[in-house]
Amino acid sequence: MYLRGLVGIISLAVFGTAIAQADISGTWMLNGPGTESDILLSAEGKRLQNEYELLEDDPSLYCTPASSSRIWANPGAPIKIEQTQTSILISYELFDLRREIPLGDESALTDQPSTKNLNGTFFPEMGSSFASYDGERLIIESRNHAYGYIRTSRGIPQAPSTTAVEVLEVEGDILHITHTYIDESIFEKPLVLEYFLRRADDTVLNVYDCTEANYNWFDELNAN
Amino acid sequence: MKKILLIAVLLSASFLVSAHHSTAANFTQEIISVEGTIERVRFQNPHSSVLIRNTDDQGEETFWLIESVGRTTLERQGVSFDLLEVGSMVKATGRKGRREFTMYLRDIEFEDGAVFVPEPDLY
Repeated sequence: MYLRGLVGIISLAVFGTAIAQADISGTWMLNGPGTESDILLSAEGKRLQNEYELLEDDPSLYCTPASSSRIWANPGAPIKIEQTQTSILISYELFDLRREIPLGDESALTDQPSTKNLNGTFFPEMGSSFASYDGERLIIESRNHAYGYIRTSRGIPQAPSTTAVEVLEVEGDILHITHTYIDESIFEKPLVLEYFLRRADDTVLNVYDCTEANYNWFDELNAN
Repeated sequence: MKKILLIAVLLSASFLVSAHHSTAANFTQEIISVEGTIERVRFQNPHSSVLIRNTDDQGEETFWLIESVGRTTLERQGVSFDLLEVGSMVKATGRKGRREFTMYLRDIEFEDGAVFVPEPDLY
């Protein structure tokens, strides 16, 4: 009786550990365009959007991630996820970004951005994050964002008041991410984005070595 | 030899996707062509590009920036810009940019009729 109870406890512990360590490790590539909910901007959200000038203000032109959603949704650039007992490390080939997210509750949150590039430059546009497991899902919550753009093509903004929740779940060889942006000052209702990434473990992340897309030299050529 | 290389590029680049910055937003759907001399080739991230000097009938020169996807994405598909030599006369075709004198590259045709298509699935 005692032995049976002990086995039960061990089984529960092993099973519980398996659940708590949903396996999302590996290399992933964006698989298709994803989805987005209706975008209902508040007056402040519309003001921020109206100030945005695509050809000049897109942070991507300056090797800066506009937001975490912009980085997840980039075609052709692999993303590697590594899980440890204490953190999640997400390496994005785009801009050579390295995002280290502590596991735990919000007490694990720090003022320091979770993302930096290989040169050690931090990017508050990606927020400060902490992560936890919920069954087969990994949940990442991010706060303390710098102003940025969730959608650079349309200037959909984010702000320091924005909270973002990413839910990662593996379905076969597909990594399904549901990304919810919550900010009553910008959105009339939360903005929900979905991305689907296919497993690409044979793909190696290369050094991106981004060069700023400065158009001044080009404009000067035609001005002369 | 050049034609053979171009065919190899076409075959290897069976799954290429859109450029790093939002192609749909930065470039219109209007297809245009520009003839001229290659002045500069940049094979880099986030955008590769080719600078072409066009001279019109009146002798007026205009520089065109022909943009494409970034280096790492092209390299992963076995595509390089080695065929694009400075000084070559070419005709570039692609989507007209919202920025003046820019274009998103569809193909470049050389004087001998060979055609370079870096992203065959994009159009």
